[in-house]
Amino acid sequence: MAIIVRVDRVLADRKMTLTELSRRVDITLANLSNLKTGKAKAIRFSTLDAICEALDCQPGDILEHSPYDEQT
Amino acid sequence: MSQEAELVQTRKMARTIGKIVNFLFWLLVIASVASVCGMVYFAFLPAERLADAAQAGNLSFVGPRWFTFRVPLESLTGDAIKTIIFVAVSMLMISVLSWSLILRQLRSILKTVERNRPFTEENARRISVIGWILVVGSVVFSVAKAIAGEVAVRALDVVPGMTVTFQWDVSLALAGFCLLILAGVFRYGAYLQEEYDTTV
Repeated sequence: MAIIVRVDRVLADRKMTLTELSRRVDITLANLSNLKTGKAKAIRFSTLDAICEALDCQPGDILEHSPYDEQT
Repeated sequence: MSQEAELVQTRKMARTIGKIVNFLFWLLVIASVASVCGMVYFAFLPAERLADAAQAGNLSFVGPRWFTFRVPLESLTGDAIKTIIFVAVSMLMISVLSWSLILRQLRSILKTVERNRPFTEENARRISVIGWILVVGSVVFSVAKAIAGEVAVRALDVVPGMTVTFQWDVSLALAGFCLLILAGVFRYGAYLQEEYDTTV
């Protein structure tokens, strides 16, 4: 997919683990892991809102568009 | 009632119906085996033994709806009885095998309902299998019934020139077509379920 999820980068900046984020946003670790590895097809606004709230960032910090990456 | 409570109730109902369907399935499997054994047994049974049993009054027929007229005792020759029993057991075998196949699919569908995952490609395929069995079965059952009736009438030869009419079971075919449409609905449901599962 041309959308790249940069949660791992923001997590590293905040020195936060995926487990802690999962606990804060109340989303299962499996679902967050799917999001991080690019296995998820879509993201809800509510999820995006919760992640941005927990990481104190903007949606643009988490999601990135790459026109050259056509990998599904 | 809340949605969660409704789902719990549906799962409970699926479990109960599943147990009944499971019991009926194994009953039909036993009946299938019995009908095959019966066919083999009657195929090798000497016709004279059946005629002797009929003359002695030890043999009685309970005719199905499509075959209800009295048969005079002199018509009950050994070969006629053998033919009729063979035809009746064959009919039973076709019916029992089809229904056991339907119940097998239904059992698998109910298991997925119990696990709260009914919208899958497999279930869509199972429903379409049941639908095709009913559609094809409506023709096959009707043809088999007509052939069985014709063979029985010819074997007994009670009314000269008597013919058996063919009647297509429309309601069975209609139920089959409805299930084929439902299979399409389930296919779409499976697609939506996949979309939902991959949305975070």
